[in-house]
Amino acid sequence: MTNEKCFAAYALLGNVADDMIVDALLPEDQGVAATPVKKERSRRLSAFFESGWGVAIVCALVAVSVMGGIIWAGNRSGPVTPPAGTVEPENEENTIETNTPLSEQSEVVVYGVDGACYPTRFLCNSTDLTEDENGLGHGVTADGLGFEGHMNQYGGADLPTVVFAKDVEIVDYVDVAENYTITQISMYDMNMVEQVTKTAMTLDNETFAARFIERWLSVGKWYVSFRVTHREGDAHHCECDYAFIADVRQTFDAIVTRNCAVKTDKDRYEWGSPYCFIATLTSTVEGAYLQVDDPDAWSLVNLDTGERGGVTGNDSPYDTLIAPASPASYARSSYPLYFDWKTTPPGRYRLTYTGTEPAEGEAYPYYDFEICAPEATPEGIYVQGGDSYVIPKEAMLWVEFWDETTGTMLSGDGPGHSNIQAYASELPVLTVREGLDLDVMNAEIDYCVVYDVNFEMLYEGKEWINTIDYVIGPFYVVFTVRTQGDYIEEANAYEGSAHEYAFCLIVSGYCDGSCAETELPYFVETTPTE
Amino acid sequence: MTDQEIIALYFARDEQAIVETDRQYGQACMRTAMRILDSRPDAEECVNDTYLKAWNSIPPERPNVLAAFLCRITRNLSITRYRTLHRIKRNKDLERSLTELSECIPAKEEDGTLRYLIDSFLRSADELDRRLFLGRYFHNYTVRRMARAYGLTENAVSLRLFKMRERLRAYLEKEGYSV
Repeated sequence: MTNEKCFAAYALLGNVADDMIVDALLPEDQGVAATPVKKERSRRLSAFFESGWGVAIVCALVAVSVMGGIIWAGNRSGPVTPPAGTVEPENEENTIETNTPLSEQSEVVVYGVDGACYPTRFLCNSTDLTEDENGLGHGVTADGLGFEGHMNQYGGADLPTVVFAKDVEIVDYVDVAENYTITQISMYDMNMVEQVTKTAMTLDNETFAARFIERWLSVGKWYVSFRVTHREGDAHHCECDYAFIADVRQTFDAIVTRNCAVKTDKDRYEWGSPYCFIATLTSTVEGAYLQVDDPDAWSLVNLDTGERGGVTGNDSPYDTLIAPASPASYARSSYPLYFDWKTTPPGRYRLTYTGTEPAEGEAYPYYDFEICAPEATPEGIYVQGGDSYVIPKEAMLWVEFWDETTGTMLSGDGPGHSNIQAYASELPVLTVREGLDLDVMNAEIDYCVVYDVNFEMLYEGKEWINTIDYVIGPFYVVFTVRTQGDYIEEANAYEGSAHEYAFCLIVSGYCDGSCAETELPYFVETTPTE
Repeated sequence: MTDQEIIALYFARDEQAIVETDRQYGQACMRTAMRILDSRPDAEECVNDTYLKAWNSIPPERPNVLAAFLCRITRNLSITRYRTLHRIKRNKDLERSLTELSECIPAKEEDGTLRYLIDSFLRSADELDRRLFLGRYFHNYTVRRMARAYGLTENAVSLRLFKMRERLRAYLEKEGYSV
């Protein structure tokens, strides 16, 4: 187990010189250009920097203000377009820095387990550029207190409350209108003591908000404020705080609805391992809520014998997987269940959810799956690729052993697989999907050779092969394993042997239609890998 | 774009600096974080924070080698996050390498002399041994990956790492730093 000593040593190594750090990078990490930055990301970064620095705003204002410079709100002489959505103040003289207009808004929506809310908006700053009838540019700016300033000045605000639950994951926590960007999220306790502020550098709105809510909001009540910038070309820019109260609970008791579907992540499980299967209750009704904390509502029955299997819930040690909810619903939940393998032997089972009363004519939601006995893995040398494996054909290369009778080391040579063409069609076949790692199990390879279908050598060397380099096939792979035996004192030498192992490799890849002409018997069509 | 050009963007407070940093080193930072955290959401957050730290520290800092500067930040943020996360599934490979490292480097507070000794030991070591050592204990590459990259067997890599750790430990003990 690691301890402070380990981390201290790790930190000390972090101070070595830069050139040695870079020299130790593998080629793929040495500053190779990544995929182009998405346009959305660029826009977010622009919004972040401009909100924090205002350099672009100043440049834009300088470019537009040819004659008169900037006209400030409260002293304007031309038509002014206030920032969209803000309330026109009653007293013009109080528009700057003394009265932050609170207003309803619809551009930012936050979803909780009990519904959606529209956070209250607090202006931080805004700039609008207009032209008068003479074509002269005018810039109007307004400043507000923002959320934190307002709370400090007025001691409170009318904020909506959103309920979150730690064991309920929402599809999307926020919806943000186009051209609006969350640049920063802050969290305060109910005494307005700031707990954490995170800045979005490259994350999009939804991801940023979801990460923050799931990682930083612990059980309790918190003020949460999104700093959002809004741009409409060069004519309008504003920055506002959108704040709400987050009521975070551990679990959320909800109303049970009908028309629920039970889903698990696969339909076969291996007996003998304490595997946690994830059963997801998905509502097909818009805006429905789901019962999530009733383990007695689940039953597991052996379809062959009628016996009940062990089902336990609530205390799952595994992460919860989420199945997609129906498009109409905005809240989804999953309830992790696992079966007790000691009381649930192999067989066909039905998982039933009885926590909801079915509608007339309908049955309780259920899911059928199978628990199967695990396949034993070979004891000797075999090659594993994903869920498949092959036991290669063995052929001796050489052997040296101590002979008691003669008192000498004897040796023998074998052909290995030098004549592989003669029996290639009889070799065991391993078919895997491109990109999977192939592993030689229970042995260390000494050497490896790959032939194509015409037995032309494609590769020979000490390095093991990568399926990416050998798509389709068949390819014939031969690897050598050397084994060192006992040390023989009389001979001052070790016993040992070397064997070659051969198998046929088929790697499935994307078929663009031309592959249909191949005569290869083992070609497997797959969908393109992403 | 060269490192110098990117750093110039930072100094000019041009947001294109982050775009270029992400383009040039985003994947490398992501891989560094993934090797420690083994979780894409956590790794993305660390990379996000790396850019923020870089923006806040350049200027006044002017890194000589931007790759190493960013690697170091990501590495530190990732290990801090790893330590604070309460995970059921630990990163066994990382834990093993941390334990191995602690057996040859003493747990001392920030010590300029010790840093210098480690640095000079590595600089005087065989080039391949140094790359393997830093690849394993700084960049958190697996033994298998390095074996493939350098055309060695995994056994050969493990043996070289073992010998480097032994030599480093002996060297530091000789200089008065015992584990």
